[in-house]
Amino acid sequence: MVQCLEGVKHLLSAVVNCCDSEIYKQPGGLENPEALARETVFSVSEIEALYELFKKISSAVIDDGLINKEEFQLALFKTNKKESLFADRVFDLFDKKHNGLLDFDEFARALSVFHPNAPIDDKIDFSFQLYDLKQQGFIERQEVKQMVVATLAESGMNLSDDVIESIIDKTFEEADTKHDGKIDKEEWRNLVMRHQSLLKNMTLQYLKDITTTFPSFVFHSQVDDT
Amino acid sequence: MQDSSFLNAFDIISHFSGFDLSGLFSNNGIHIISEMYISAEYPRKIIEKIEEVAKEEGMKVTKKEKGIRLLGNFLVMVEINRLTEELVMVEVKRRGLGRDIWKEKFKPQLSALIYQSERQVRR
Repeated sequence: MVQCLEGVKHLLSAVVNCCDSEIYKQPGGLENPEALARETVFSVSEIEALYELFKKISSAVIDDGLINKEEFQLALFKTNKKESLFADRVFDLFDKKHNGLLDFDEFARALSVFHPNAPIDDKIDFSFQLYDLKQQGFIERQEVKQMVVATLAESGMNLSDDVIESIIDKTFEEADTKHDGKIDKEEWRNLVMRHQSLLKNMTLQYLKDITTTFPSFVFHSQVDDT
Repeated sequence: MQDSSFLNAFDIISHFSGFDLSGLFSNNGIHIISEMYISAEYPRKIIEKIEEVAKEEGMKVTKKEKGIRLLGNFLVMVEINRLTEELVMVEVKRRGLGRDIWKEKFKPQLSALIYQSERQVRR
């Protein structure tokens, strides 16, 4: 009987300690900012400030402590009417658990990549996955064209098919060093190291100032951050 | 001009699309409006036109390596990059309070310089 109880106790403690991410599912509570700070580029106060942003976004449509796709779109575009091939792709990359919802853990870890101090390798990885629309481990010419056309359409810009084709030709000439019609991770990395401006959208300067733009965290702070 | 100094397909995709997450922060007064145009004009001519309007509006003008910076009640940054032999990409980023001077004064003046392709894109 005693052994049975011990077993149950071990089982329960294993479940409780399972993974840090379980802790954030409790609405209204940021239980362990230190753990997240350790595993991301953010400081503890940045995590707390980020949590304020998360609460705002996640309560926009359904107040459940989670961000669904509609709330994500609303936060990005101020309207849930705009469908963006890319906002979808970004959401999917944030949504590591693939359950259509972002909890704070997923939100913070993904945004960490966009911090100015994040390692460039993380930005290279994320951007590669972003553009690899069909998730085949390489970027195809057809995917590139699809993204270029969608981008131009979104911005109201107008280019003839010939011009678009020639731009893509030149891009592949430079990037596709193995000449197999696809851009793999290594070729992507080489291209980006030569043209670092291609990673411009992988850095959000705002993340460095986040503690000043979300000062309300000061009143909830559990940590004396010196 | 060397081919590799032209914008490539990923420049288009990364600079100008909904990959820009800065929208997440724009409720807090940090709201940057970003617009892009394509032109078959020489960059020099585009900058001259912008400068002309800026001076009329009493804005402070600073020339930059690839563009121009204007300061009035709105801060406007214009950067021009070559896309092909014939075409350039004009990127305008602005933020400010009150009257959107770019929209009201500059855009109408520049509309003649914007490239309109006649042929449809094959998808």
